[in-house]
Amino acid sequence: METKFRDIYNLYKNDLFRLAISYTKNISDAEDVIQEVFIKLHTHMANLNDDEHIKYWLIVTTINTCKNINKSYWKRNIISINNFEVSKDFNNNEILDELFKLPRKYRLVIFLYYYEGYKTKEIAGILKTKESTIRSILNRGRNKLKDLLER
Amino acid sequence: MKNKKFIDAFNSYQVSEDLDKKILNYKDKKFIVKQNKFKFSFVFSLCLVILLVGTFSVVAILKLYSINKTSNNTESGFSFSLNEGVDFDINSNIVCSNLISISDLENTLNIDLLLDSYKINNCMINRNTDSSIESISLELENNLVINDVYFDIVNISFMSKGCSEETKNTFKNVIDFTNFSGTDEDIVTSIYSEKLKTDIYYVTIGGTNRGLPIFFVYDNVLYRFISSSSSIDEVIVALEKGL
Repeated sequence: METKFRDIYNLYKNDLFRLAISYTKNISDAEDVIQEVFIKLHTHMANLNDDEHIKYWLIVTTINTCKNINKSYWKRNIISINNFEVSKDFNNNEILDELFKLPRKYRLVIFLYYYEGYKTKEIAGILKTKESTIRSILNRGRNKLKDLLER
Repeated sequence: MKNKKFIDAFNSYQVSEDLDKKILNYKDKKFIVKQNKFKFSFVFSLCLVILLVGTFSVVAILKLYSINKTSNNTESGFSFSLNEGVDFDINSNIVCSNLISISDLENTLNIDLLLDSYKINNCMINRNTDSSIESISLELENNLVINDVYFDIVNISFMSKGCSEETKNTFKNVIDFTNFSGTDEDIVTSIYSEKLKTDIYYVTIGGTNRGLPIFFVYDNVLYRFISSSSSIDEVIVALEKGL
């Protein structure tokens, strides 16, 4: 079981870390999220059967953990400098720099579509939304990002 | 649909080695804690089982022991127990009079109790309605001198197994020392006689040796001695010598 945990961690850690970055726009927050997600995985691993189920569970748990971090008292009451400018961690990355200027819902769908390669139907399943809504969000997000990159 | 530019943009960000260590160490620590918890709970459960078995065994033994015993608690907290199965085996054909000889009594009671130095001053026999003997009380003149102490009078009582409940209760009441003053100065204690293989209970009334009552069960006969001028050590020496 411990070997399996290590294998799963090594297989998914970076993908989940990047997903967390796309949501939180902050590396230290993303690290906190990843740590929490894998602690949860260790607790619930016995209930997770196949690899695809584990990946799905990890993505959903990462998104939920990101939401929880943003709901925390600290996040709601302390204004971060990141609210005024994108973290300096991403200043050298044009795509991420522009991506992080988009609202959260666009960032998440764009990440799952273009980075993870999920289909809109699968994204709808992960985010528990209609597929048409995902298509709409993806279309609008893509256009906004295109505008930003062309400026 | 994956986008290469997009993937390249994100690929430069990876989980740091510090975070790797943190998560994997956390996992290891948690695993070790789980193992320790298991070990601790196993040892704790084992100890608990042993403790419970031990406690139940002790309780069972005590209960088994107490089934065959009746306890008489005195006001001072002293407890004197008699075996339920004790037969106070006294020949009901005993003839008791002021003229009875020591050897007659010994033969009748079938015990080698009394020393030749005793003389019976008084003999009181209580009989059941069928004329069988309930109890015998003997007042003996004791000429035994131990360590310059003279045993003037010794009162010996025997209770027959055929005695009535009333007599039994009377006897028990005497055992309970309720007829004594019952002050804090009355000291009730016991000495184990290796020779007689029984506990000998005695009361030092008012903290003195005067009127020393002694009780014990020997060879299924309950004995009650009352001696007025002897120490418990001297009485025990006499009893061990006599029995």
